[in-house]
Amino acid sequence: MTASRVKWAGLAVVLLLAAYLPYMVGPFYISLATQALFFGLFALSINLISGFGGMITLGHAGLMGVAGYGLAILSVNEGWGLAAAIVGALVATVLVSAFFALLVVRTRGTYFVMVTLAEGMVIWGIALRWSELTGGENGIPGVPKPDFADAYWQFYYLVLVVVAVCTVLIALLVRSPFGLGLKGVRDAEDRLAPLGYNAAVHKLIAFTISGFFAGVAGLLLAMYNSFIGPSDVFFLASAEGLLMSILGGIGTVSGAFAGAAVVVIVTNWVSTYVDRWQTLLGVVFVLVVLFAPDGIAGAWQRHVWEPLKRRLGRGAPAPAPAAATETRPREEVRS
Amino acid sequence: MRRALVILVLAAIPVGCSAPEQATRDFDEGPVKVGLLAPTSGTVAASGTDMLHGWELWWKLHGTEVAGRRIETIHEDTAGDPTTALTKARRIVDQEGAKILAGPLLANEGYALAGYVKETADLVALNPVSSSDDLSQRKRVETYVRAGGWQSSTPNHPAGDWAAEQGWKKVATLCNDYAFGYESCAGFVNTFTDHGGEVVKQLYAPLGTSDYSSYLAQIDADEVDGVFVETVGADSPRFLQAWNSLGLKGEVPLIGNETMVDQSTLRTVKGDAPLGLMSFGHFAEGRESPATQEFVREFKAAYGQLPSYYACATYTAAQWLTEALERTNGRIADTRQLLAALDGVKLDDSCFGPMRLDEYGGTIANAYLRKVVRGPDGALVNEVQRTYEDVSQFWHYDPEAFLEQPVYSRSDQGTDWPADCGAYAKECPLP
Amino acid sequence: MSTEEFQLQLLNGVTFGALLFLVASGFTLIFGLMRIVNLAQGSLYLLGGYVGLSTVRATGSFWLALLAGAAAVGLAGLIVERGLLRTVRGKPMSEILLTVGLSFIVADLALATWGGDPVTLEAPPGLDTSTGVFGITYPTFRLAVLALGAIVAIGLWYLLERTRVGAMVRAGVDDRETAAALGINVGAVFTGVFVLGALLAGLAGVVGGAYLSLFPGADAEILTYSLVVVVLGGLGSLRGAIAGSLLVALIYTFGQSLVPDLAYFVLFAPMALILIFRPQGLFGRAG
Repeated sequence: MTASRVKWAGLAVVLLLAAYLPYMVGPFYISLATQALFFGLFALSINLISGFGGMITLGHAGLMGVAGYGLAILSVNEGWGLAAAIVGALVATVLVSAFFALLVVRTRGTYFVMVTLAEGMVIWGIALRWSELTGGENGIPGVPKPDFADAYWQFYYLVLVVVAVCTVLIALLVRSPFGLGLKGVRDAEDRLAPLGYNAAVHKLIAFTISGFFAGVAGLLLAMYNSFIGPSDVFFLASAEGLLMSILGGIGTVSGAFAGAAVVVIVTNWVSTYVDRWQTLLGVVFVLVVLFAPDGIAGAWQRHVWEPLKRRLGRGAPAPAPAAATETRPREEVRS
Repeated sequence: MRRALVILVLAAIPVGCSAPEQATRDFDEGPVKVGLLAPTSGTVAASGTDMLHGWELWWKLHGTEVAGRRIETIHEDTAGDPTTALTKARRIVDQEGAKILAGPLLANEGYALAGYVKETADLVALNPVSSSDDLSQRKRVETYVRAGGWQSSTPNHPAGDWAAEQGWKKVATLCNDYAFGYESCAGFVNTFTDHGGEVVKQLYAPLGTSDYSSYLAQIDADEVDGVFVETVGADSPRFLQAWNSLGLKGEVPLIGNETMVDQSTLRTVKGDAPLGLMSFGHFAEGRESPATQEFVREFKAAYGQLPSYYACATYTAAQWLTEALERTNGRIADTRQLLAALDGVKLDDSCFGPMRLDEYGGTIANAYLRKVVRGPDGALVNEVQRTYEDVSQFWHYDPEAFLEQPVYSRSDQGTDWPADCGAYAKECPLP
Repeated sequence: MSTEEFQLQLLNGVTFGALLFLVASGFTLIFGLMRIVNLAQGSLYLLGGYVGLSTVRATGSFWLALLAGAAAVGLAGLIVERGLLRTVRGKPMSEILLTVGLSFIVADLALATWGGDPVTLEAPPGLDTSTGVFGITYPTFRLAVLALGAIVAIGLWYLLERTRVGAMVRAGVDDRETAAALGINVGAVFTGVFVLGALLAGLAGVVGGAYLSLFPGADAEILTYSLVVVVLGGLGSLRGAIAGSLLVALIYTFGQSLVPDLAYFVLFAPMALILIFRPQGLFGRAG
């Protein structure tokens, strides 16, 4: 019984559980699970550049929104078929992500955060004011789902499959030479040039790919609600996405889903019983920041997984809590 | 590892082949559960709380037993967000087994809920607040009933007639830059232009505008005979402040829509700024009728403030449901029967006034020209100056002719609608 | 646009700029010195406004409300900086997350305490009139806000340029390590700056409560503007805060009337341009 076997077994159990979920619980819980899945993908896309790449972003809901609005505008307003509208929406998202990436690629640290926040708000501003195109405050209702995913449980499976595929792709990307280069950018950007790495190009590609996956999450969100509106792209949505990834464990894949699940549960379920649930959410975040900066995945790693690995004879002696993702960059702005 | 994957795939194959079983419920057993979707957090929290209070007040005064069944209310906070509204609605329907929903507040929440109600079998929803015109016109959902509800443009149609009567020839309008604003302004503009009036300028301020003075600066007092304004929520006090402090008060006549001087604004303003303001709406808390006065009195006693139209709306929705249930003898399992009962309710009086539905699901009720005065106990109150009876969503137009036009929007404010008497169903109001 | 309208819009822009400066100056100081993007600045503004509201309701004095709002939020800033931010010093993600979490908490508790109805503070008697300015009728209160903005600007300039404390702050902005090496108590300076920033936000809240109004969502609104101000003006620069506030306010005001559909675009586009061509802002330092 090796650690690797245990890990794969665990994964298999989770997947089976996810597959059989609709037969075990009612529609409400499935709706929570569906949200946790596509918000998890959103958090994962943020993780890609914030965790693995070390660039904190506060505007990703904007990219999610480009896809959502793209789908809505093309299918509802322009009458395109669903497949064509999806392709169109994703193309638009990639283009916008690349453009935003260009603006941002020469900045670092807190400036990076500000710029991404601003970029997200530009999209929000357009969504809000350009009412002829976007429906303004009212948003665009009537976004269609694929015919085979009409019922709530069918839609859940669609989301499950799409999110699983994307997660596998992202996991592969992170372990690839490109992904290692990205981590290099995060950890020691200045030292990369002499080694032949072009940091700016890495950042650009990473940001664009991340935007693509945020877009996929945006498509699923728009279909789930049959609706897209400005509140979906407001900076609070981006902040919540970042919080999901930090809560879950920045720089990890499973963390994104854990964090998303917690936020979805608090927003939709706990709020029924606790009036001040937003305060609760704020308190949870503050506590995580102060006492568990690695998030849920980090805590799991330290308190459950490492001891288990040691028990199985494959682990290292107990390490200090990881702080690799927290180095403050020395220079703020480089032109 | 490969073996594990194979086993995994084989095990997962039966998944997705058949729909999961759903527990069947007998809706005629036990209490009648009603899910009330009202935002009690976020930017529209104040109005959402009024919705909750209005609903609760009815049951408090009349008891929760109707036709042998007990009414059980489940309130959920939508936070003014459509995604949250949808999830909460699902929770109430799936977890709690409710067959009836009521609410929500905002237009976008309303559309999102309408979509859900439409695709869910055995679900009926009451819509007392969300006033998007199209929900009872071109985008009607049969099971989403305007019980105690209204349409944004409806009370503003008489406003255009009234302005023409005053001799106004040129006006400017200022409305919020979203559907509620477009529909409110268009109601006025449509009828005003039918009388030959000219709309000199149409300004649109986004919801949440901090500073209305930059919009008001664009209105030339010498150019217009009057101004029509729609504002809602937090914008209303800010607009009123800008209007007064820029010296326009007294210079140019102003008429507003319902929510410009609704109680949710009036009760927060100190001083005399709103005094004398005229507006059009389907609710007037100063209306001298026992139904209205009893409601206002009880609301004040229970919650310490005067009720806004949001409170009257849910209070009336509760009244509406009561009447419908009495018709079905407390039965709700038969959706067709319940729907027929809801559609057929005719209130002789309510805190609004008399109210019933037309065959398109739109309301036929009074519209009032109101004026802000100081009530006997010193509070600012909307008093009725003139009552327009039996106002339907189509005003004087023939419904078919009305529906042929596109819904009121920013680009279509009704200025080009046919103005000959042929388009009118009832007496032609044109000169 | 008629001359009268132009003058009115100009006045609107300049006085709105003064209000923005009050909030943004604190934001830029905190940002500039401590490299903390204080996303709770908007909530502090809101809190100050509400505290001011309660003070006015209890005592009837607007001036007292100004003091109370500023003091209360300054105190809150002290607690936050000393108690919470200190423990995550040097970790940007944690700092940001902390301020976001705080903003959630403050905004929700404010809703619980003061309710969701929008409220406007009454301008103090004496200032609630209208004055004739360049032939236009203009609210006196707004002119007073303009004056207040100017006073605060001069006060901050004096503090930063002419006092020892200011020199320490500027040293810290320029080069933290060397400043510490020179024996400057950087920790105390940090706390002082944060408290000052919070105080300014609280003061702005009371003023803004009378100028605009207070309601759930006002915090996000003012935060967005502050952000643009700081990016345009440059981080850590007082001149930048002044220039940025005026620019943003004027663009917003004139943009609203000339191109309402593109109002936000008009506001954020200059920010995007600055970021491409001069990322440190108009008056910021490179590197």
